Amino acid sequence: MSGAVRRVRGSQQLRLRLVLATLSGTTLRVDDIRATSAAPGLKEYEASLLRLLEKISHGANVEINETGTKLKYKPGILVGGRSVVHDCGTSRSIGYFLEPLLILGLFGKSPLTIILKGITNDIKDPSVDTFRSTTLPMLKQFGIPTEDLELKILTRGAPPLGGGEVRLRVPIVPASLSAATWTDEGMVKRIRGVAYSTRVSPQMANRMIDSARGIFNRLLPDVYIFTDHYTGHESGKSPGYGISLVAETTTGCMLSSERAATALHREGTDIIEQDGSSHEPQLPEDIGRQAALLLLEEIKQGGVVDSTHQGLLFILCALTAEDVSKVRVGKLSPYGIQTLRLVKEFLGVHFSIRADAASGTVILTCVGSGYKNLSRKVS
Amino acid sequence: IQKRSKKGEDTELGSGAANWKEGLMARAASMAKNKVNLMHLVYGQPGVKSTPSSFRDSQMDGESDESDEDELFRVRRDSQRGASTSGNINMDDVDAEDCSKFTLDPQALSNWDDDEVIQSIRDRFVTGDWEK
Repeated sequence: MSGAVRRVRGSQQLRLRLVLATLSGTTLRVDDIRATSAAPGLKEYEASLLRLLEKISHGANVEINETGTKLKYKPGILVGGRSVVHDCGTSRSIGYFLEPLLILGLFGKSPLTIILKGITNDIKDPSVDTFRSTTLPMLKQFGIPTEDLELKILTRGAPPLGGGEVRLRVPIVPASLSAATWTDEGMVKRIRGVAYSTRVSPQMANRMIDSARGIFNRLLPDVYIFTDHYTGHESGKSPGYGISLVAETTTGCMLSSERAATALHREGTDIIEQDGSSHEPQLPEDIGRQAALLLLEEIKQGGVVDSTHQGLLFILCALTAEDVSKVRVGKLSPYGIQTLRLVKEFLGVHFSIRADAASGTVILTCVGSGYKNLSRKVS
Repeated sequence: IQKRSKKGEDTELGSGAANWKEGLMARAASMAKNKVNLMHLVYGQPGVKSTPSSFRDSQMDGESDESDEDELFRVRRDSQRGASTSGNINMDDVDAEDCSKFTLDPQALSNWDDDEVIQSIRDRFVTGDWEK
């Protein structure tokens, strides 16, 4: 491990910075974390993420100052593990933790099997349904067999109290990821989806499905949205419902969209929103319709992944063997742009970005950093 | 001979050729702009040091940290805070929310009730025209 220390400011992109620092063996020092905010320092979910990193690696060292505005992270060796359990808390959903876990899991010493507890679906982070239907199949393009990847939803957990549980299984990369030439987005051949409902009437799922289907009927007959209803001990601690949609193309690309109800008020309990605004519970019809329209927007953009998955795509490209990767995306998302900058900063991978005027898409080309699974060689 | 040359000047062919030339500069300019802008948008202008904010911020911090380490009070130096916290990710906010999910502004949604908008993506489906 090199003794390099990288100093950055602020809490932005903390997840990716931690992931890239871990992979590149760089010590990360973050200053001024929400230093001028009324609630300074690390948030609960960020502290939870740091604990999670310590769980899956050996010899990692985290130092935080008294107010939580300064952080020093010295990465260890990624070991993975068979029966890791982590409580993600309720300040962010499980989706916040899944993406870094997936990348780090691939470069561990042994395959990772982990149980994550918390909120499975919310409006801020990608839901576990989208992760299963869209994120995991992406890895196939980089030479990871999809059979070894698994996300199983054991119980649902809606905000605000959560109580959900999922099990994630990630294989290790034997040597390095293979470069991908992935520019043909194909045509949408079918639309699939999951409408879940927990601790509410199962009719909610059907109402979401009906309004979503109504939108697609003019374009494609092959639409099937599954209902997923939870009762009893599998239903978590709070009521909720939501829908996650996936458009599958002829070339195997997956484009996703999703919507979920904001925290529902239960009788007898007062939920005070952190930002002071009270969100009205939305009608299932509106949620289904919005999710369907968002999916059409993603389809319209073109590209082999949707806007949400651009960041992960770029990181995977940068971590491949020293070979040329070429991918096509729709409009660059803000998160995608930030990822490109961080990847250059930490791994030195510089993308060539070209707009394809004919289709309105963007083509990115890069030479992988030749990153090898170092953790594995130690054993 | 005179007749022929006159005819040659203002036939449809002549005016057509002029039309073809008209937008040439504008099109070339827009193409060049597209090509340059994306690289600059992501990595910043070559030669101009300030664009990627994380880079600038870490530089600034490194310089100032040693000099006023032991002063009790420090003047709050970032003025960009509180600029815009609503809506999309603010690229200059060092404490911007870390969220990979892309949330489209409801205002930016196309009008999908319009049949023309629906037709515009018809060929992105297998039910559309395969030749395109």
